[in-house]
Amino acid sequence: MTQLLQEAFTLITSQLTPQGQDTLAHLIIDHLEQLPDFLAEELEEQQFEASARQAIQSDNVQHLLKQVAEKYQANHSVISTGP
Amino acid sequence: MKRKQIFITASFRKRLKKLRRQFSEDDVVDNIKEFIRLGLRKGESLLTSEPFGHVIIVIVKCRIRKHQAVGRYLLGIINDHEYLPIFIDLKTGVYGKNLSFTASKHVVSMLNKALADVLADYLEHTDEDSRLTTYPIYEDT
Repeated sequence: MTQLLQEAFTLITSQLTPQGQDTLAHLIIDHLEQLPDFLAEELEEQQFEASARQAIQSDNVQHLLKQVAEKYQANHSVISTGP
Repeated sequence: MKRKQIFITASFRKRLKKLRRQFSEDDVVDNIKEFIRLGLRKGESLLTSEPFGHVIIVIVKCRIRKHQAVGRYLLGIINDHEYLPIFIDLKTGVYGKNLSFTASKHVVSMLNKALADVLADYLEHTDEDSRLTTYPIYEDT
Protein backbone atom coordinates (compact mmCIF):
# COMPACT_ATOMS: atom_id res chain seq x y z
CA MET A 1 0.00 0.00 0.00
CA THR A 2 1.34 3.45 -0.87
CA GLN A 3 1.87 6.01 1.87
CA LEU A 4 -0.80 8.27 0.39
CA LEU A 5 -3.40 5.48 0.35
CA GLN A 6 -2.48 4.62 3.91
CA GLU A 7 -3.01 8.26 4.90
CA ALA A 8 -6.35 8.28 3.08
CA PHE A 9 -7.56 5.20 4.94
CA THR A 10 -6.38 6.63 8.26
CA LEU A 11 -8.33 9.79 7.48
CA ILE A 12 -11.42 7.82 6.49
CA THR A 13 -11.35 5.69 9.64
CA SER A 14 -11.09 8.81 11.78
CA GLN A 15 -14.17 10.27 10.05
CA LEU A 16 -16.40 7.18 10.00
CA THR A 17 -18.09 5.10 12.66
CA PRO A 18 -17.26 1.36 12.67
CA GLN A 19 -20.61 0.81 10.91
CA GLY A 20 -19.70 3.43 8.29
CA GLN A 21 -16.32 1.75 7.79
CA ASP A 22 -18.02 -1.61 7.20
CA THR A 23 -20.43 -0.03 4.73
CA LEU A 24 -17.50 1.51 2.86
CA ALA A 25 -15.68 -1.83 2.86
CA HIS A 26 -18.75 -3.55 1.39
CA LEU A 27 -19.08 -0.81 -1.19
CA ILE A 28 -15.47 -1.22 -2.31
CA ILE A 29 -15.68 -5.02 -2.39
CA ASP A 30 -19.00 -5.00 -4.28
CA HIS A 31 -17.64 -2.61 -6.90
CA LEU A 32 -14.13 -4.01 -7.19
CA GLU A 33 -14.68 -4.92 -10.83
CA GLN A 34 -15.60 -1.35 -11.77
CA LEU A 35 -12.73 0.15 -9.76
CA PRO A 36 -10.04 -0.02 -12.51
CA ASP A 37 -12.37 1.78 -14.97
CA PHE A 38 -13.23 4.39 -12.38
CA LEU A 39 -9.55 4.97 -11.57
CA ALA A 40 -8.59 5.12 -15.26
CA GLU A 41 -11.28 7.71 -15.88
CA GLU A 42 -10.13 9.76 -12.92
CA LEU A 43 -6.51 9.61 -14.07
CA GLU A 44 -7.48 10.61 -17.61
CA GLU A 45 -9.38 13.59 -16.25
CA GLN A 46 -6.37 14.67 -14.19
CA GLN A 47 -4.12 14.30 -17.24
CA PHE A 48 -6.50 16.38 -19.35
CA GLU A 49 -6.61 19.15 -16.75
CA ALA A 50 -2.81 19.14 -16.44
CA SER A 51 -2.51 19.41 -20.23
CA ALA A 52 -5.03 22.27 -20.31
CA ARG A 53 -3.13 24.15 -17.58
CA GLN A 54 0.12 23.64 -19.49
CA ALA A 55 -1.46 24.97 -22.70
CA ILE A 56 -2.89 28.02 -20.87
CA GLN A 57 0.51 28.85 -19.35
CA SER A 58 2.33 28.73 -22.69
CA ASP A 59 3.84 32.03 -23.84
CA ASN A 60 1.66 32.45 -26.93
CA VAL A 61 -1.60 31.85 -25.01
CA GLN A 62 -0.55 34.16 -22.18
CA HIS A 63 0.26 36.84 -24.75
CA LEU A 64 -3.16 36.39 -26.40
CA LEU A 65 -4.96 36.45 -23.04
CA LYS A 66 -3.26 39.75 -22.24
CA GLN A 67 -4.41 41.17 -25.58
CA VAL A 68 -7.95 39.90 -24.95
CA ALA A 69 -7.95 41.64 -21.56
CA GLU A 70 -6.74 44.86 -23.21
CA LYS A 71 -9.45 44.67 -25.86
CA TYR A 72 -12.09 43.99 -23.21
CA GLN A 73 -10.83 46.91 -21.14
CA ALA A 74 -10.86 49.22 -24.18
CA ASN A 75 -14.40 48.13 -25.15
CA HIS A 76 -15.85 48.37 -21.69
CA SER A 77 -13.89 51.29 -20.26
CA VAL A 78 -12.99 49.46 -17.07
CA ILE A 79 -12.49 52.14 -14.43
CA SER A 80 -8.91 52.29 -13.25
CA THR A 81 -8.40 53.09 -9.58
CA GLY A 82 -4.65 52.48 -9.54
CA PRO A 83 -1.87 55.04 -9.93
CA MET B 1 -24.75 46.17 -14.36
CA LYS B 2 -23.63 44.86 -17.74
CA ARG B 3 -25.62 42.02 -19.28
CA LYS B 4 -23.66 38.78 -19.49
CA GLN B 5 -22.97 37.43 -22.95
CA ILE B 6 -21.93 34.15 -24.51
CA PHE B 7 -19.72 34.35 -27.60
CA ILE B 8 -19.55 31.43 -30.00
CA THR B 9 -16.50 31.97 -32.18
CA ALA B 10 -16.06 30.70 -35.72
CA SER B 11 -13.25 28.36 -34.67
CA PHE B 12 -15.25 26.87 -31.78
CA ARG B 13 -18.19 26.34 -34.14
CA LYS B 14 -15.87 24.48 -36.51
CA ARG B 15 -14.68 22.25 -33.67
CA LEU B 16 -18.24 21.66 -32.49
CA LYS B 17 -19.20 20.58 -35.99
CA LYS B 18 -17.14 17.41 -35.46
CA LEU B 19 -19.51 16.52 -32.61
CA ARG B 20 -22.71 17.57 -34.38
CA ARG B 21 -24.26 14.14 -33.82
CA GLN B 22 -23.86 14.60 -30.07
CA PHE B 23 -24.18 18.32 -29.32
CA SER B 24 -25.61 21.38 -31.04
CA GLU B 25 -24.62 24.99 -30.55
CA ASP B 26 -27.87 25.51 -28.60
CA ASP B 27 -26.90 22.65 -26.26
CA VAL B 28 -23.60 24.36 -25.48
CA VAL B 29 -25.27 27.75 -24.97
CA ASP B 30 -27.87 26.18 -22.66
CA ASN B 31 -25.11 24.40 -20.74
CA ILE B 32 -23.20 27.66 -20.25
CA LYS B 33 -26.40 29.34 -19.02
CA GLU B 34 -26.76 26.52 -16.51
CA PHE B 35 -23.16 27.00 -15.43
CA ILE B 36 -23.81 30.74 -14.92
CA ARG B 37 -26.82 29.87 -12.77
CA LEU B 38 -25.33 27.03 -10.73
CA GLY B 39 -21.54 27.42 -10.83
CA LEU B 40 -19.17 24.46 -10.90
CA ARG B 41 -20.75 21.03 -10.49
CA LYS B 42 -19.42 17.49 -10.09
CA GLY B 43 -16.57 16.77 -12.49
CA GLU B 44 -16.09 20.46 -13.27
CA SER B 45 -13.12 22.50 -12.12
CA LEU B 46 -11.40 25.84 -12.15
CA LEU B 47 -8.24 25.57 -14.25
CA THR B 48 -6.85 29.06 -13.89
CA SER B 49 -7.64 32.61 -12.92
CA GLU B 50 -5.40 35.13 -14.68
CA PRO B 51 -5.45 38.79 -13.62
CA PHE B 52 -4.50 41.39 -16.23
CA GLY B 53 -4.86 44.74 -14.48
CA HIS B 54 -8.56 45.19 -13.75
CA VAL B 55 -9.57 42.36 -16.03
CA ILE B 56 -9.67 38.79 -14.74
CA ILE B 57 -9.81 35.90 -17.19
CA VAL B 58 -10.90 32.61 -15.69
CA ILE B 59 -10.82 29.28 -17.50
CA VAL B 60 -12.92 26.38 -16.26
CA LYS B 61 -13.53 22.83 -17.40
CA CYS B 62 -17.22 22.06 -17.71
CA ARG B 63 -19.25 18.94 -18.37
CA ILE B 64 -22.01 18.60 -20.94
CA ARG B 65 -24.46 15.72 -21.18
CA LYS B 66 -27.12 14.96 -23.75
CA HIS B 67 -28.84 11.58 -24.01
CA GLN B 68 -25.99 9.04 -23.86
CA ALA B 69 -23.26 11.49 -24.85
CA VAL B 70 -20.95 12.94 -22.22
CA GLY B 71 -18.58 15.70 -23.19
CA ARG B 72 -16.36 18.28 -21.59
CA TYR B 73 -15.40 21.74 -22.69
CA LEU B 74 -13.12 24.55 -21.68
CA LEU B 75 -14.84 27.84 -21.01
CA GLY B 76 -13.09 31.21 -20.85
CA ILE B 77 -14.76 33.85 -18.68
CA ILE B 78 -13.78 37.50 -18.97
CA ASN B 79 -14.56 39.58 -15.88
CA ASP B 80 -17.54 37.39 -15.02
CA HIS B 81 -19.25 39.02 -18.00
CA GLU B 82 -18.23 37.43 -21.31
CA TYR B 83 -18.26 33.65 -21.77
CA LEU B 84 -16.25 31.98 -24.54
CA PRO B 85 -16.28 28.22 -25.05
CA ILE B 86 -12.83 27.21 -26.26
CA PHE B 87 -12.53 23.48 -26.80
CA ILE B 88 -14.97 20.59 -26.66
CA ASP B 89 -14.51 16.85 -26.85
CA LEU B 90 -16.26 13.69 -25.84
CA LYS B 91 -15.37 12.20 -22.51
CA THR B 92 -14.50 9.05 -24.42
CA GLY B 93 -14.06 8.59 -28.13
CA VAL B 94 -12.24 10.89 -30.52
CA TYR B 95 -9.98 12.47 -27.91
CA GLY B 96 -10.75 9.94 -25.18
CA LYS B 97 -8.65 7.88 -22.83
CA ASN B 98 -5.93 6.71 -25.18
CA LEU B 99 -4.91 10.17 -26.29
CA SER B 100 -4.40 11.55 -22.79
CA PHE B 101 -2.63 8.49 -21.51
CA THR B 102 -0.19 8.11 -24.34
CA ALA B 103 0.32 11.52 -25.82
CA SER B 104 -0.11 14.37 -23.36
CA LYS B 105 2.23 16.49 -25.55
CA HIS B 106 -0.23 16.05 -28.36
CA VAL B 107 -3.12 17.04 -26.08
CA VAL B 108 -1.26 20.16 -24.92
CA SER B 109 -0.59 21.16 -28.52
CA MET B 110 -4.23 20.50 -29.51
CA LEU B 111 -5.50 22.60 -26.59
CA ASN B 112 -2.94 25.28 -27.31
CA LYS B 113 -4.24 25.55 -30.88
CA ALA B 114 -7.87 25.66 -29.72
CA LEU B 115 -7.04 28.45 -27.25
CA ALA B 116 -5.06 30.41 -29.85
CA ASP B 117 -7.83 30.07 -32.47
CA VAL B 118 -10.67 31.17 -30.18
CA LEU B 119 -8.69 34.06 -28.67
CA ALA B 120 -7.63 35.19 -32.17
CA ASP B 121 -11.29 35.18 -33.25
CA TYR B 122 -12.15 37.33 -30.23
CA LEU B 123 -9.33 39.76 -30.99
CA GLU B 124 -9.99 40.00 -34.71
CA HIS B 125 -13.75 40.35 -34.40
CA THR B 126 -15.15 43.66 -35.61
CA ASP B 127 -18.64 44.74 -36.64
CA GLU B 128 -17.47 44.64 -40.26
CA ASP B 129 -15.67 41.29 -39.97
CA SER B 130 -17.77 39.21 -37.60
CA ARG B 131 -15.94 36.27 -36.01
CA LEU B 132 -18.44 35.52 -33.29
CA THR B 133 -22.12 35.12 -32.53
CA THR B 134 -23.41 36.78 -29.38
CA TYR B 135 -26.02 35.24 -27.10
CA PRO B 136 -27.17 37.71 -24.43
CA ILE B 137 -28.04 36.24 -21.04
CA TYR B 138 -31.28 37.36 -19.46
CA GLU B 139 -30.81 36.64 -15.78
CA ASP B 140 -33.72 36.33 -13.38
CA THR B 141 -33.93 39.28 -11.07
